[in-house]
Amino acid sequence: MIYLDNAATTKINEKSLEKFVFSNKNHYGNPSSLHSYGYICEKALKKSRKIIGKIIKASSDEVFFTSGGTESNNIAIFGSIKEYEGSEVIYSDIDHPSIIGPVIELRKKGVVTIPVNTDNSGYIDIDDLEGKLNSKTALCIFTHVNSELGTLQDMKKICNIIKNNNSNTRIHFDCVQSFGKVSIDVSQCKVDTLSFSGHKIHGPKGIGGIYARKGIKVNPIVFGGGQEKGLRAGTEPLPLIESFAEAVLLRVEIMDYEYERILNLRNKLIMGLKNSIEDIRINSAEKYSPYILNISIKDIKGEVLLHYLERDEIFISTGSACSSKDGSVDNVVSRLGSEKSYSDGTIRMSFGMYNDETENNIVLEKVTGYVNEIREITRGR
Amino acid sequence: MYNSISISLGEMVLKGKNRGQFEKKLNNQINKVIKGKDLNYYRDRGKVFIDTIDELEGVIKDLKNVFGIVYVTPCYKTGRDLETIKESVIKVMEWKRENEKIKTFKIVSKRADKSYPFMSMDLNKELGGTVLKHFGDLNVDVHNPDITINLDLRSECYIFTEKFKGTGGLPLGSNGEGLVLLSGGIDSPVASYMMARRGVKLSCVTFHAYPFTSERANDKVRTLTERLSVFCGKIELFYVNILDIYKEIKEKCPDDQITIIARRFMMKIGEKIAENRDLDFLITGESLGQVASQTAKSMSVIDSSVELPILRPLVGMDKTEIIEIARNIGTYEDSIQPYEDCCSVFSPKHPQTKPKKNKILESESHLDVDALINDAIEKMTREVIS
Repeated sequence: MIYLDNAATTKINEKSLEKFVFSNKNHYGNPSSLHSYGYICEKALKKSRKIIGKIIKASSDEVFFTSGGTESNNIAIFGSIKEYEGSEVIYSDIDHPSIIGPVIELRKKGVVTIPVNTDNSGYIDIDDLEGKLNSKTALCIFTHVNSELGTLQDMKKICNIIKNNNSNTRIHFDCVQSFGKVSIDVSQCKVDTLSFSGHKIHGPKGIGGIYARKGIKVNPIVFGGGQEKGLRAGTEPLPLIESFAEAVLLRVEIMDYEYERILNLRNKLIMGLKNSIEDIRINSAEKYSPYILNISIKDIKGEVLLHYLERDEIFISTGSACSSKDGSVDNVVSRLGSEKSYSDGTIRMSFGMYNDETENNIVLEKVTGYVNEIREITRGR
Repeated sequence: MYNSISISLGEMVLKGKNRGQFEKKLNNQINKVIKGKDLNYYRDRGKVFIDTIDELEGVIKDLKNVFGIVYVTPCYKTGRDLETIKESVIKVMEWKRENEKIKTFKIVSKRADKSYPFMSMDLNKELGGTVLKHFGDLNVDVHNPDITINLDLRSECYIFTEKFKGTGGLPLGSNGEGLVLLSGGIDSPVASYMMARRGVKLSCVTFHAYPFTSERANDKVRTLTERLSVFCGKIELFYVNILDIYKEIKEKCPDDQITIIARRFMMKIGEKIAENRDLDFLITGESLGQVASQTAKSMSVIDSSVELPILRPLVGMDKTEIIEIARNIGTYEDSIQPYEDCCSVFSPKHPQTKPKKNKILESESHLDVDALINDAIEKMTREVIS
């Protein structure tokens, strides 16, 4: 199997899986229990929190566990608005559904939601952003790495602009596609909250987290036993958390090396595709995450190519997997500005730690062959 | 409280000499409902009854989906002598009053057995008096009562207060067998239901163009067939990949004829499947004027591709009417799932709406029609859905 849909989710790494099993067998106690076994589990929880905080240069008390990216975005968005009526929220309308969904809900509650302009590559128009910021701006929500194009926003610069305008404005970044893949240093930028997820970095599914800068108050959206300092009630799923921490440890070890290796894979694949397929466009921004490659091929329906490749157990994606079943979603791909003959043929290949050059060569050969075959059928006589 | 179910049959009771055949088909369906439940059904002067206490709710729910049944009625079966009936009516009223606020009532007796010594009107009066006397706080209201206690006098007395509407129609299998051309859309499942309701036993064929279409599109058809099987019992479903046929048409025929020629291929493949299984006709969900292939001219050219009759139960219906039925039979939500079917993948920008048969035949002469059909049928897969 050649799995090139790592932006949707990844295969869990062996160490994380072993840790998950170990923790289920040995750390099944409740970290909140008063007895010594509960205390052992609490220590394991603390250790994991520390590991996860460290990779973004945050202290462990700034890390809160959730079920994943979507929940983290919801907490950060709903939990950061003190009063709905009269507040303004700035966001980017090419964001992931886990941001657009809460924004639509905020709108229903009376919040004025203002989309900031983006260019064809998904870059935020800084001038437009500056023009829209004012004293009523309660929250700005952006995505660090766009899940479809891989566009990498300048988080530090955006945060500075917002805070210089109004230091009370909250800033949330969705870092689900960048966490553990691209360097993030919260101590060097003024972001207030950011979200991340385990299953995008070869960790387990069902676990993620939210970073909340020390001193800021984020209100919970789930209430109960007061776990996670009241921000996210519910018994902590320690096996998932420890398994996630194990995945983060691995990322710390290999992140820089992997970045270069994936960049190299991506570049080689781009070169190969450009050389062997006519009328192909690489939909990439100037600054991007190498983990995501988005291309458009003229006169090819992305889904048809996807089904051709799946027969050889090569798995790619068309739109974002979270939204590709919903044709109505106005995602970044639909705004590429290219003509329909190209935009219909947009595919995303997203890399992970198990992809290598041998796979690259097979993919290149198969994609080229199928593009020719499909064009022969659809172009007809 | 209830200890029996009464089943009222629909228009099949109007059948003359053939009634026995219809009843046999209905018996088969009732047998399927009570299979494995240690229950029996019996007839009592035209109506069918099943005595049960424990399985009552489940059996009623299933019987409501059996074609040929117009009403399913839970009832309290008791003896015929007047004292027993009086006691039973009081028992039923006491039971109903446990959960409902009842102040007024009415008694309605019907004698299927005319030899019963009391006339219905007399019986109503006698029992009404008994109830009034026993309860004290109740009044008779013959126009708008809180509860109507019905007595159905046959070889036993069946007392009931409510009845549930069945699907009606004719028993499954009493009107031949047909092959539905089932897409994942809204219309064809409704067409299937309507034909099955007239007693047609169904098989289905679906056409796909994998890898041009998704495997999930087949899944959608499977789900729709599962929904239909609630009413239609076991259904044989055939999956036919017609990508190679589309390829040939695309290569050798004018673009604006693709849809109509492809439809003719589907009919021909359907006919072949039907002939092999001795099925009587093809069924489609076409509705006049809905899309290019469903104009009068297109239907005529499509019809001429096969000898087997093509039945189109929705031909004169509006989309809104079709959607309403789809919602009622529970297929609508699945039908609107956004997976492309093979028709939409290859549909030309401007398909012909007034195709000429001679021109279509001329185009088809460039294709090896028989070989393409045989190849598609050879690669066809089959699944039995129940």
